[in-house]
Amino acid sequence: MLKIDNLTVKAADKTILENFNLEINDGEIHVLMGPNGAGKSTICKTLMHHPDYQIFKGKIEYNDQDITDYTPTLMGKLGFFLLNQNPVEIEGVTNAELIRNVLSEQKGEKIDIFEFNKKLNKVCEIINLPKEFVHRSINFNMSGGEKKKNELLHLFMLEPKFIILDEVDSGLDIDALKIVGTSLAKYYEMYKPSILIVTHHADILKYFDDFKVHIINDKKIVKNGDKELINAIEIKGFEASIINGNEDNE
Amino acid sequence: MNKLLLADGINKVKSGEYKLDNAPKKIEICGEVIIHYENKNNENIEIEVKDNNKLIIYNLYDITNDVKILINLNNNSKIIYNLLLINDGKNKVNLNLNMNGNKSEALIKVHIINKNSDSNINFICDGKIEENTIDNVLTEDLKGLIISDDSIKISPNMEVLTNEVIANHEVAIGSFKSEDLFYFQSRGLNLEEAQNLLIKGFVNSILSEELRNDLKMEVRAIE
Repeated sequence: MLKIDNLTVKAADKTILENFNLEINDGEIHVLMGPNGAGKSTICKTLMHHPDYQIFKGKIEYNDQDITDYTPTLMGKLGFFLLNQNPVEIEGVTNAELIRNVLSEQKGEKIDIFEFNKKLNKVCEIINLPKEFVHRSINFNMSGGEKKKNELLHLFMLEPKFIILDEVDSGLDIDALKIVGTSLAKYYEMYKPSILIVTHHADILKYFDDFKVHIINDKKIVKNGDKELINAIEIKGFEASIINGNEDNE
Repeated sequence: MNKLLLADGINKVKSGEYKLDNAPKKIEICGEVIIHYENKNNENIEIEVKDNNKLIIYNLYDITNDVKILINLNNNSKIIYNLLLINDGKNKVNLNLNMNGNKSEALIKVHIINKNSDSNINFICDGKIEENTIDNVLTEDLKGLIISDDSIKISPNMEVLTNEVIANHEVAIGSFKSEDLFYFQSRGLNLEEAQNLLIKGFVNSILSEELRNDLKMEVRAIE
């Protein structure tokens, strides 16, 4: 279980999360929604211990382990995976090189190329990605949809236990959204990871049956709910949903 | 692929793809030519692309002393120069490009890296477009990756003596991008592994497959 307890975070001397609380049990899907600038992406990067975000107060625990002072490397090793809305492009380093490096680091031994290729074929089929992508530079010269699929390739190959999706649906056309949504649903069905979905829109959520919803505003969660809350947000917008939700503050 | 055997003096190269190991004094391009060239001997080189001809060159230079590279472009000719400089010590590299004719095109892409923390390199890229010429295009895209306490200086000079020209230059010297490091680290790699992959990416992205294989040992030495 992930437990974020009373977290206050600063970036460039500005407080961007204040007394933030959230608990995500193993295998649960949680959705974090809120207006622009509320702190949604901040929580994603803070969880991965991005060096620009400093935790000033509070605690993060994962399976009763205090991970407040972890590094990005340790978070990756722990099985956390951040899928960004706009992943970096790295020319000259192929997907295969990165995935092989990470897998051999995870296992502490050289990876079996035969097994690697076997799994790769299966994954490419699931996410509808040509196998040649594995030999391309990471996200380099790819369209928005291709980048998301490329990140899904990493996800399926590395098999993380906790996935953070930071506005993964932004900039996707209908077809790309469908592939990303069905691939993530398939991954959830196969591995039952915990997932934190940060999004502006409900479109990606139709690929998941059961999830909890939180609205973030002004640096903290101000309302908790379930699928019904999504309907209310779609009809009334964030502002009205937040006003009616003060009694749910944590 | 043919292996290009060069004699002293001027060597005329006809259309084809070549691997070049030894250092010529001068190459004349007479056709559509691709050259993969690893220069380990620090020799100066002079390239002339004749009228209506084209050269794509991938050039890996081990720099251990001062080096001069001279390129002459004539009418309706084209060069795409992909140059990787791996520097050891305190050295100066001059690249002089002269666009003497009309309707020619030059893309000079250079990546520079030092082998040691006490190395420093001064790279001067002089692009000259002669007066009374028209419709030439010159692009200089020059990058240096600082790994530790080493130093890289790049001067992207352009002497443009005509108005009928498109000329651009871009220079970037810096260390690893923090977002790139974060990306690799958040996948579970430690800082050193992340930096090594980024060095590999920087050098690989300018080389042909041919030269990448030759370079493998070199990169390990830098890591």
